[in-house]
Amino acid sequence: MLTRISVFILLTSVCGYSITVDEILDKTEANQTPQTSRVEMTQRVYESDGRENVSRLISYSSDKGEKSLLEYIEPARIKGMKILMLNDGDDIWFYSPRTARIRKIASHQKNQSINNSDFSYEDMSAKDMREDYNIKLEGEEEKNGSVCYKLVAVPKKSGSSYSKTINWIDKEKFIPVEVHYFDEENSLWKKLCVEGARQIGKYWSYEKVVMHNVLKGSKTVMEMNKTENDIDLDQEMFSERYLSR
Amino acid sequence: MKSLPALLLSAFSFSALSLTTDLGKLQFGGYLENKATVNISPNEIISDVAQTRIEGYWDFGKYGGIESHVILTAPLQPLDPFETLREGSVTDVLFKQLLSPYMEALGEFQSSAELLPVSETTINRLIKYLPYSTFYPSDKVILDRALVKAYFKYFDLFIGRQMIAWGTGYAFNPTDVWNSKSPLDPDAPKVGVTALRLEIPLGSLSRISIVASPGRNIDNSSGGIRYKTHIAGFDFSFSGIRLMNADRQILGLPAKMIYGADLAGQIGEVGVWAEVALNNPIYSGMEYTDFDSCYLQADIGVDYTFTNGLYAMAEYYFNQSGKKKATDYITVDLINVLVGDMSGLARHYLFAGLRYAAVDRFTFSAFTLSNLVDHSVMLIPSVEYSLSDNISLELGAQIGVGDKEKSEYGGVTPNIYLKTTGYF
Repeated sequence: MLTRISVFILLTSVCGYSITVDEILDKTEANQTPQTSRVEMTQRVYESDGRENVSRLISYSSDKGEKSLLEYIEPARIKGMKILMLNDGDDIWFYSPRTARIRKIASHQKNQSINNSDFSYEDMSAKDMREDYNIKLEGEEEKNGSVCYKLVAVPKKSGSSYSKTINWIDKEKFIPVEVHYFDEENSLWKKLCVEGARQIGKYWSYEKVVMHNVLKGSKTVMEMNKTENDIDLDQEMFSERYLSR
Repeated sequence: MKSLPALLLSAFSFSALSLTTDLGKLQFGGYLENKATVNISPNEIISDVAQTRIEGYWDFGKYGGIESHVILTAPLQPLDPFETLREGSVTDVLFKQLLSPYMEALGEFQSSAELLPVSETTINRLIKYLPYSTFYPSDKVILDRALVKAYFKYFDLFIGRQMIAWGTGYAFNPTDVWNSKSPLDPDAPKVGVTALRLEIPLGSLSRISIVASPGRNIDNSSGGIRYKTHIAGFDFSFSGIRLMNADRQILGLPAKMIYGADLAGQIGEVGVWAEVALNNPIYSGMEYTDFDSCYLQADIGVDYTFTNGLYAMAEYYFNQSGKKKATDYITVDLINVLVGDMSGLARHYLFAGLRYAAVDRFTFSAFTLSNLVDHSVMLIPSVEYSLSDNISLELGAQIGVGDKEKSEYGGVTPNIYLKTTGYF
């Protein structure tokens, strides 16, 4: 009996965990990626000296995030600015009502911050991590009171802003709880934290998503004021035609 | 039964600058901008211009809308444009050659004033300093946009004064002939064009645009068609335009046909764009267009953002109708620049620069516009500070470097400016 238990323990320690990375990410995606969504957000950027900049935007997505549209409605300086992302953020178009020009943005600009926030275009992309990252499961840890799977992701090729990310996925709910982003020198650059996780229908969402820029000492808070999932969205919205209307 | 006030309140809901009705949403916005400039010349001229842009939108949602923008410009401290050019510089000489017929006519007018008991000195002083005279910038109110937008199932229609932006170039747009653009300020809003524009979508990223911009008669009218699509990660466009208007007629310029193409995408991690336009002036009295006078304009640009956020770009411009030597600059070249047919006097230009948000609220930029023929350069450094979400301050300069007499930019007096912009 004791021999059987010992063999069992040995086997599980050698073979690893009973769940795979793919299974974790599939469940996480199923929990968080509706077919379509519309989210009204307030973005608060807290600079290193404590000053706060506030903007409001609406995010639309379709095809489980493959297509997305961001539209800024406040402040007046950027009102009417639109960003269209297709092919999981591989193709980005930017429209400014001041110049009436639609510009295709090269992917290097995904490194740039959106509206001076601590989020970059790359951070906002809903792309499946497995396409661009090699991901390993490195055990379980407790984060913010939840037992989480710890996934370490390293980019497959150059071009990403980050040398690696560490993702903690809640073991019971299968939603991200915290993400750490590392720069080229493997220093902790940004931390993404969530607050107020809640289930809306069959999907999980958050009241707030906070990105801390550890190097700068700033943070950006995205408040999800209103979230609607699996709604009817006019697919024409994800087109150049809609950008310039 | 609800009372009338209750009914009105239920039909309307409003916030500070918008009003929602059962017919749609009415919104107002815009900005106020003040630009104070010091021209560093022996006379050290200070000028100040204030501009307010008021934008009104009546949005009918999926059916269309109405848009109107009014620009009020007040030169609080007017500037004689000639004060920005060094005496004897090539641009100063070309301007004087261009205006000499008018100055001579003015001289004839002045000579008639000898009948009056007023000295020539007094007359000159009046012309030089009289506020709001025709020689100085004056208060202006311009209806910059006034259009109706109508959205249908298979096409959208835009009728009225509107902004039309074709081409992928940043500082130079050979295919965008609807408005002239200054490479010294590529992000400035362009003046509206009175036109009827039809947009026919052919997919999410493809469409046909048809523009008709009427003049006082058919001969003085412009029209164009453009096909845009997306292939293999690149945006491509092809266009054909007939350009003619009252300004060209007054200046003695012919109508012309323009055949253009442009693309935008990326190679590796580097953004790339290119634009080419074949210009074919149509000379009156000929039964066929004179292909010998065709000339090519093209630009190609690249940009890249480093992981630390530093943005770098460069754009080369070729203009076959520009001059290969500085000594060949003539008045017609200046006319072509003023009307927007060319972006400069010479054949080769390079616009390049860097932009970096080094610290919170500060964005530093350093751009250059180089005339590769006469080797003169305009240095355009600036720093922008965000005072708040809607208020920004920009301190910048335009410094011409090059031969003071023989080069395009060396003859421009350097200036420093402070621009304050408040959005509402």
